[in-house]
Amino acid sequence: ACGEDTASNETDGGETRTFKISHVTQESHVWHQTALKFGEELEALSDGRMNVDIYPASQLGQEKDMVQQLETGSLDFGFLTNGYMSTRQDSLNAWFMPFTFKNLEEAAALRKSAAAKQMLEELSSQGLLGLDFAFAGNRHILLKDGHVQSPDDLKGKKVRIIGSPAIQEFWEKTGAGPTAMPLPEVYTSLQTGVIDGIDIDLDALATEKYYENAENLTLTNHMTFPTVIVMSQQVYDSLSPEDQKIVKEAISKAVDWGVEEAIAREQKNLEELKKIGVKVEELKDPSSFEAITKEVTDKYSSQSEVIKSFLEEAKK
Amino acid sequence: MKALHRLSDWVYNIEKVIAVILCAAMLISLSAGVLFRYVLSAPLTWSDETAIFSLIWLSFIGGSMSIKRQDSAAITLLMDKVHGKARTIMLGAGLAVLLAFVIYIFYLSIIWLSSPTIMMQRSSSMGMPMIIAYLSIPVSFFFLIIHTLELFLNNFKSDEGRRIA
Amino acid sequence: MTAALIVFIILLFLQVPIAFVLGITTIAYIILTGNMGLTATAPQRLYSGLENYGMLAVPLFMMAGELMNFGGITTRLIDFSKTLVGHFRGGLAYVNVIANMLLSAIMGSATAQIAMMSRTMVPSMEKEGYSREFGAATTAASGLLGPIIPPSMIFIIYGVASGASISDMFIGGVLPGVVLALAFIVLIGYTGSKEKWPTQERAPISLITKSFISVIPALLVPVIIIAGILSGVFTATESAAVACVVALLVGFFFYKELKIKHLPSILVNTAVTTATITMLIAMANLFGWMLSFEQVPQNIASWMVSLTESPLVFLLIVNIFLLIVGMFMDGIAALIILVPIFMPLIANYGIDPVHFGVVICINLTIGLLTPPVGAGLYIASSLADVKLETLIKSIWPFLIASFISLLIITYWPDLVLWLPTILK
Ligand code: NA
Ligand code: NA
Repeated sequence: ACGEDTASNETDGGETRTFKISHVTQESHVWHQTALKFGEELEALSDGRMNVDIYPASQLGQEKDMVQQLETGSLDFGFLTNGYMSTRQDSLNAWFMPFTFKNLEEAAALRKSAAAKQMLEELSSQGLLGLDFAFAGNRHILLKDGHVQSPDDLKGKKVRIIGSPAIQEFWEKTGAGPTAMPLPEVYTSLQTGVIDGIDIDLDALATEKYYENAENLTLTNHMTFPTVIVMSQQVYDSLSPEDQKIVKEAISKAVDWGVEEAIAREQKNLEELKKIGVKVEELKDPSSFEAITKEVTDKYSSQSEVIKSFLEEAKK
Repeated sequence: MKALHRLSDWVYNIEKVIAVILCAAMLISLSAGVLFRYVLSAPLTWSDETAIFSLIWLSFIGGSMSIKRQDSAAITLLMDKVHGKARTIMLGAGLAVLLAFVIYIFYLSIIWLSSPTIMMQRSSSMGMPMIIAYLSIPVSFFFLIIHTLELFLNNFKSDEGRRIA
Repeated sequence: MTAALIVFIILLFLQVPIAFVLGITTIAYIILTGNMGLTATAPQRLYSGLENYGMLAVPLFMMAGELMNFGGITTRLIDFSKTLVGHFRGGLAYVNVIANMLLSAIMGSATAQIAMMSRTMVPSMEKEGYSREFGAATTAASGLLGPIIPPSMIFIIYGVASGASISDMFIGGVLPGVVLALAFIVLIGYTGSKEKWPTQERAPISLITKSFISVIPALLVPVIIIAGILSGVFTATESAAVACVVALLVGFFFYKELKIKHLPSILVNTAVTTATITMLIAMANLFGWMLSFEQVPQNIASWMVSLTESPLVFLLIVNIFLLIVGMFMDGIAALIILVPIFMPLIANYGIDPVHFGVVICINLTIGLLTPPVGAGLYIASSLADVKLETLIKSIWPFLIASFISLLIITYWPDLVLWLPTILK
């Protein structure tokens, strides 16, 4: 007698419908907060007819599993990392083009660009309805020794990165030795010196306390790291047009809030890290990275029109 | 029956060869990873992925082998006390459910790998098509069908009924 | 859910392999709830349960054990222990514990270690006048040290499932391992003086020296592992590969007992023993997804929190619960199913995940020796050729010693957490 309350209820006739949302982060993360906000908005806009159950920390499976569950309609919404999704759709690499944004505000502003909308539309070939992008802070570099003012400062350093083709390509060109190590190993590996540094956002740096083992943070803003918010196309199609509108409105409101929150957290985290005693420096002049950046961006924009137009919009 | 028995043995021999290759691949790629990172300061980006994909293949192929060898962990508490015909029937029922399960997973995995989005998926470090790793499931469940079917038929042939564990 | 539970129990008793019982139950659950769309994702779930870096250590530590066995490392560890403690009253029983401690610093699995030592230690203890069942009981109990003193398979699986640092788990297991070994030594000393066991002559210094020199290459394996992890040459996972390479080299070039012709059967054995664990993990990943879908972990968590606010009382309840689970279920399977349920809870109680991990892993390892379902018991009884009933009779003093050690380790988190802290 269990499970009948899951996906099958009708939305009309006054019955309530509960959507399942899954994501990979912990409950303190801004993506989880955004999902909560979405639930609130949805409930308010539908007069309580629609609400959500959130499954954080990959409780319903890894991202591979989430995508498949979205395709078959057994999961309703997913917050998928751009890192994983870029291995399924090339145009998403646009977000990983190095030194495209000076700060998180600039990156977040591009979520409304035509190119970003195009990326979301392309997801329909996978049975996914791309709804929006949300952010988790830009990527910076934490090292055990020294700060980064040019690629020379990275030469020969073993740096843990997120394993994704575009990110990896950038890092290989810097002369560092990029290592795609799983997260649970990172803390101890920094401590023992298996790696010399990490490519990281401030939120993860503050919560995972990596600064206990490496105290030199350079604010490079070399990339951003969004989540792609998607809905199961099958589930979306089963909704009435009014409800479809409510879903889109709720998500857009929630992400507007989430982006502001992420930007606020970026500031707050930075102040906190400084207070703890992390040695913070800014990358004053990214021009020494220009040659590397150009190689990567040229290659990717020649492969994808979307990336090309994304970069053009970013320059404006 | 005899043909099935021979087929099952033959499959097991293939599995042994695959297992040896996979174990070696895993050991070599991880050791090379340490060597290149620590001694040569030039980390390899493919070593971890190669090792993980070998492990996945090894797990499913080994899982099939353990059914053939009747080596997997099972609770024998009750069946040790049951004898004769009752034992044959009860073991047969368990094997029948197991057989249905491996056939069903095999069928599901074929459908899964026929979906159009499978070809879009590539591994994150090497960019290897994920289907190479995913194929471990239909292949090993196909082998499992052969081994389980042999055990099932064998169970009714012998008087005492053989143990699965 | 109730129907799924019934399917689960029936299949278990029909002797269907546990790994497959988990998978079949999940599929049955999906069919019973009519959510057929969910079955489509089953193969992918099986796959992603294994796509995990930490899991690599499972086959590699298995392989290291096999390599050492063929390479003559095991026998040298036993000989060395004999020259050290063989002359005390109950000498060979101590030898058993000490040799198992040394072996534990290389091997990661209790059942593998019990299998290995039952063949060698039990006959030699019998020859010296100990009863066969006491020899088997000592061997089985000392084998528990295998996964508690690092490296350790079950610690790795806990680390993978919980996100706790595997290196910290490894180092945290050292003192609890020593506590357990001491408990066994005290027990042997007491039994020995009560039953007037035989003594042997003390080995002459020349023999000790000779045996020590011959054991040095064998002892290199754990030394390289620990030093390598602490100095940042490799990660805990990679240490498993390094252990294999060192065991290979020692077996080939120092002891010259390992031959190329041994390798195929070593690798095939590794594959099968690995799969018995990793198949379980893949199927448990499917099963765990059913539990999260039903929000079982959350419900148990909120119920538990309503019972008590004290972390210590909570740990005691968990220990009692796991001892019962361990009577009926394989430790690693239980761990995989239960860790996702426990993790939100321990955060609530402010318990350190490394301490918690060591406690529940020791608890479930003890389960290998508790009847009615205990893999360690069955292995020891069949390899040492002792009736299960008689073995159980002689093993209960060891079980009590293990429970007391477990309580001590539960009560003093510093026994686990102190070493990892000072090594930072
Ligand atoms: Na060990
Ligand atoms: Na037990």
